[in-house]
Amino acid sequence: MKVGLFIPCYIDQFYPQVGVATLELLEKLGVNIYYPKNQTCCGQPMANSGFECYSKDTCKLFIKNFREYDYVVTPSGSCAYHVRHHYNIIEQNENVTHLRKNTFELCDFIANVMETLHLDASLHKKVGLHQSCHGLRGLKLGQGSELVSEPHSIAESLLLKVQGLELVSLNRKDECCGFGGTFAITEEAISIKMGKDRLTDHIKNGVEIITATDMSCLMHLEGISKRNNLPIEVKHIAEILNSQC
Amino acid sequence: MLTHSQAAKEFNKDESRVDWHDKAIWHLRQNRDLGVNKIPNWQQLRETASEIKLNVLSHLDTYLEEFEKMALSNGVHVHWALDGDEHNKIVKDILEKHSVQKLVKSKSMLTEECNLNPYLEKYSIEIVDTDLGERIIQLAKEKPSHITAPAIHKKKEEIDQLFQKMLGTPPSNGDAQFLVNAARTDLRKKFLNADAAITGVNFAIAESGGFVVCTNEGNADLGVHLAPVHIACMGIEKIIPKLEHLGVFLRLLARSANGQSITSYSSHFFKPRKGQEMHIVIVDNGRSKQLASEDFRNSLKCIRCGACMNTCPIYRRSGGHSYGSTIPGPIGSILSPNIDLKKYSSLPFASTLCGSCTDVCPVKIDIHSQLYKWRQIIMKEHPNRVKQMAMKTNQKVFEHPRLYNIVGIVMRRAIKLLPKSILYNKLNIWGKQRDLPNAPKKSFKEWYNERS
Amino acid sequence: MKEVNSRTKILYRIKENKPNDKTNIDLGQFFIDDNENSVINFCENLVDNDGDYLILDRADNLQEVLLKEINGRSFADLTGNIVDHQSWSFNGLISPKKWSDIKVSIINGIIGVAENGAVWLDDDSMQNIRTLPFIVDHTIFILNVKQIVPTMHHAYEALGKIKTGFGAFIAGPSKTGDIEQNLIIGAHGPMSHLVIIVGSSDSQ
Ligand code: SF4
Repeated sequence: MKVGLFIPCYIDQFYPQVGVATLELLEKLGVNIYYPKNQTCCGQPMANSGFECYSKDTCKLFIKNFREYDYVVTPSGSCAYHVRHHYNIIEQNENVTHLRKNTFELCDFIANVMETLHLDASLHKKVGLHQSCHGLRGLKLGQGSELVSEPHSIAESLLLKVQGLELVSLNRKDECCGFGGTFAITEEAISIKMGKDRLTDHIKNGVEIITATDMSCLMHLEGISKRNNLPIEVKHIAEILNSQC
Repeated sequence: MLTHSQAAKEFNKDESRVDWHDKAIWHLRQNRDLGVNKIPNWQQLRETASEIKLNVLSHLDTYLEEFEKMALSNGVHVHWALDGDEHNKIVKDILEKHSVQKLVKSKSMLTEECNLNPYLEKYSIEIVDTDLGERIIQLAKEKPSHITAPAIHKKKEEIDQLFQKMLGTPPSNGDAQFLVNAARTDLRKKFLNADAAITGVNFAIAESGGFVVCTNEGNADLGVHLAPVHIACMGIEKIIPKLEHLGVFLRLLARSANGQSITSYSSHFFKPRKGQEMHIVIVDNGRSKQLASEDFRNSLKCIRCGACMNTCPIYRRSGGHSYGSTIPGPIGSILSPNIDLKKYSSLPFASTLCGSCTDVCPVKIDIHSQLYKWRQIIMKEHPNRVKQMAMKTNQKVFEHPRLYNIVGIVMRRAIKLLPKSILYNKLNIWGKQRDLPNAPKKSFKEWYNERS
Repeated sequence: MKEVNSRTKILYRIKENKPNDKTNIDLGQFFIDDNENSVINFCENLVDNDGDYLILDRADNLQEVLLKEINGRSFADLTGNIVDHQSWSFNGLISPKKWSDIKVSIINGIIGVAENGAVWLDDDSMQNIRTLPFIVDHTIFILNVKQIVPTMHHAYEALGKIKTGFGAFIAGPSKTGDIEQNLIIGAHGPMSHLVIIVGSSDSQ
């Protein structure tokens, strides 16, 4: 099984430690993981702004970079969702259909492809899980609170395997943080308010570290939290699942 | 017209009011959760409702003809209106024929859409909205901000002031019970003296020519059962094939709206009562156009429960008026561009595409996917220059791995080296109320290259 | 002739634009029978909807119970259960405007729905006085225990083709949440809603 690692552009540039944690974690779990060096972005920023048309070559580049892999794993539910659901704008050849099926968000891959039962991780902190929307409602990595069915969450069940970690329950367990790509800029006022409200919910419930399957949500939350000197940290879930202390 | 983001910015100047508004509407969503969780096969029910509605769209012409035939045989008058103007004229003609001077109206988003009230006022017809929420905004000369709770943006103290001014009530400190009683007394007179009553239609049944109106207040019934003339106004999409399908929709509607198992009153009208005249006005107003589009026709399945508004984190924090359209919120953002693409071009962007609306919708409209699709169309037809430039730059950078690497290095250096005053200048909207991430020395790619 | 034109235009446009779906609709899956708990469910859900209930094993003392509920107020009884006192009479040509003076109405319910506590009435049980249950301050409905069905699906099945000109599911009093979500009972009409269930549930 040959697995390609896709590190989204903003993680590559701003949060390399998340990429490192993802790689180390997968290696620890015994995955043959490769990182194709010509990768850039999945095309989502353009598409979500209404410029799908400008993103086609970026999509094609993604396919070119990963076509030889059995799976693509990425520490971003949002990018995985984009590849799976919005790569219908390019010609659907064998490579494209293969990758649309086999691009996985990290936790999804660990739980459902690797079927990992045990994680050798520990972190003695109170952690709040931010359910990133594209992972939760897009990729169905859990049961959104809107639906009537058995409650479950892949990210949550992995976090529960981390020794010493206390998972905190929230008042609104899966409300959006307000990042939304260019929404963060074009609808700045609401974006900030949504972020603030999420932070308040976590802080009020005693969370020390907010985690998520998407760094973009956390970048937005961290930006607001730092600006307001709030007593809370952010860590991508890969960092937590890879932590030893 | 203000764009959604401008209006939202205004609304957010008073943060405690935003919190109040968000909480009030979230309360509806919480109640909805409690209500729907009592039905174990909720997902199947939604699926079936969605299928029935697709069946309706696929046979809309024949169902409408069947409905008309049956309604006529029940002694009901049937009218057809291509657009809002024609609808208004039809209503006015009926009223003139009966020399109606006083009219009571229960909640109907369609008559809002057609601007019926201002039209009739021109002809000196007194028109009184009888749903309490609608009455409040009518007295305040405002527009509804929500489709099931039209005055949800108003605080009780404001309603108190309004009633003092308009109804001459004594001050009550915003006592809701007192205010409702005051409205009740005032409206009772209006009901008893009305020459005609207008209602909306929640569902119209093709096989029987009947229609159903749902309220909690009973205002629709009080109006029509007393008045000599009943005019019911419906969009063409309100049809359902059979009576038995109501079982599905009545289970979904109130639960989705606020968690109630059913509204207090679900009234089924088939024939006028003795001595009464009953009219139905069937209105298109752009709906048949929407039907043509495979991407957007599903929006016609909407049963106007308001659940997508209640769940929408943006709606809750920007208020219904920020949308500037008759129907606000997520569903309004996919219906309105069909009416006027340019005017409503900011609405499909008033979303993070979080998808919560799609998952609460009782008829499974793919709302957030339609928002995404409208974005593509809007940017083709009315491109926003600044965004376009930015996205073209993105395109270049992301298509070329070498260029991407270089831009990354430059950007990270810049963040590190530039003084805060330059970094957080006016053009950096991200940084106005948020810190930029710390720029690491090395990108992941650089680290990886060194490692191997 | 404008109406004819618009009608033709609308229907033509729909024909041109409509999708072509052939999915079969099956409501059979929703007929999950839970008859056993129907009466309890009915009562619980009715209370949730701000209504009230009374269960009488036998109809013998119905008049007594009703008179106690009426408590001396003016009433209109369409059920014929009250014989010792004068009900409001609709035979005289009394203007509907006077009907605001009736305080209590007593009407037979035809079907009760367990999942929401709603009672179905139609022109027959309302004796064509459609305004009545909407204009009085207090409504009382008499419902035979055997008429309670589990869900709305069962209710429509039981109704079959509705032959009267009007019918309604009434599930509670007139209420509103339009002022800051405060639930206020008695927005326009009834401020209370009572269902008297007659017959013991064992006889189901
Ligand atoms: S789109 Fe769906 S959720 Fe929104 S109002 Fe319509 S039916 Fe309700």
